Amino acid sequence: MGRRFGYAPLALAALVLVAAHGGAGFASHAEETLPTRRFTSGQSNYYEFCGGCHGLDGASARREIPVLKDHVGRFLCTPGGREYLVRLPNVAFAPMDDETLAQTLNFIARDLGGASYPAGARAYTAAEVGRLRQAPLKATDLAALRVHILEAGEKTCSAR
Amino acid sequence: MGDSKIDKLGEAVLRGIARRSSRRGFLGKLGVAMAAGSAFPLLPVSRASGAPAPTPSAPLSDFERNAQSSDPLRCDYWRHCAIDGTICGCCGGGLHTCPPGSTPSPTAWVGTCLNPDDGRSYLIAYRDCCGTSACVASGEDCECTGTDRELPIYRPQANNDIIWCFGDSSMAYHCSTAALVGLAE
Repeated sequence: MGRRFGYAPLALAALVLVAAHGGAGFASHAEETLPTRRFTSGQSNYYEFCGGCHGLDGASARREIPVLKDHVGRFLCTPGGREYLVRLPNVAFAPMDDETLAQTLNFIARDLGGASYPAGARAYTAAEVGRLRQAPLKATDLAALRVHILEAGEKTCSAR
Repeated sequence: MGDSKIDKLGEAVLRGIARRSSRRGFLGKLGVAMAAGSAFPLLPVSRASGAPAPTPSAPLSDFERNAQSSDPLRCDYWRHCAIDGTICGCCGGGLHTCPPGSTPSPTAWVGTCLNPDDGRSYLIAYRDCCGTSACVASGEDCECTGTDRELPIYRPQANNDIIWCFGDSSMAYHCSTAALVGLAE
């Protein structure tokens, strides 16, 4: 829980940064002040290997790319959903070792997931991630599988 | 010359030691001391050998060896280590702004570049500006092909041969920005 709140200022800073960059009125070639605070491992790896498409704050092109922000935590409502996140091909085959992938998934689920992260959910461990990524999903209709998993979670999860 | 009192005292002490001790006992204790001594490192040098060696930092890429931090309108500007396309600054935009008439893509690919000024690595989002035909650059050094940490096309998340306009209303490529995301871990 302490880690969750520890990330909040960083996530906010990233949002502000992104918002500033999105503004058209920014002086064209001015070198902005470089940040001095290092990202955590999970955060840094999310930005490098996931955030380009999913968005730095977890929401980008909603039609093409699944939204993570305030949503992805729902998958931790059921064992099946918890496994689904790790077994997604782009997660299972991510160029990271098990420990780094676990940290990245925890950043995604807890920090990007925000209020959707179920109360009392366990963090992913390297051992759990290492086992699950051995069996990447082979289903081609991931959208249908996702709906099925989220519907199952609605019945059991205390989160919204 | 008769024996002095000091000689007699010395002889008595030594004979006493000889009566109470044995060569086997001495050798046994010496053996224990030697065995225990090898188990406990006595010098800092021995302990240092057990510490993990510092990991050597990755060798600099060709780009990193020649990168500069003063002119963002050139391909060798440090943030362009993995840009593939036309620098938006050469087209009326900036390092993180699109030229008028083009729109920033909601998706991008993220590279990692070394800043020569402070020796630290920063995450850089190469966000393409889309929606109009390719920019005709004004400068001489505006068409760049940086490849640092780029992965092959079958790992598309980290490939820059792709037109990164997914999610935009148009897939027409105009130019590429190099927005700062933050300090890499």
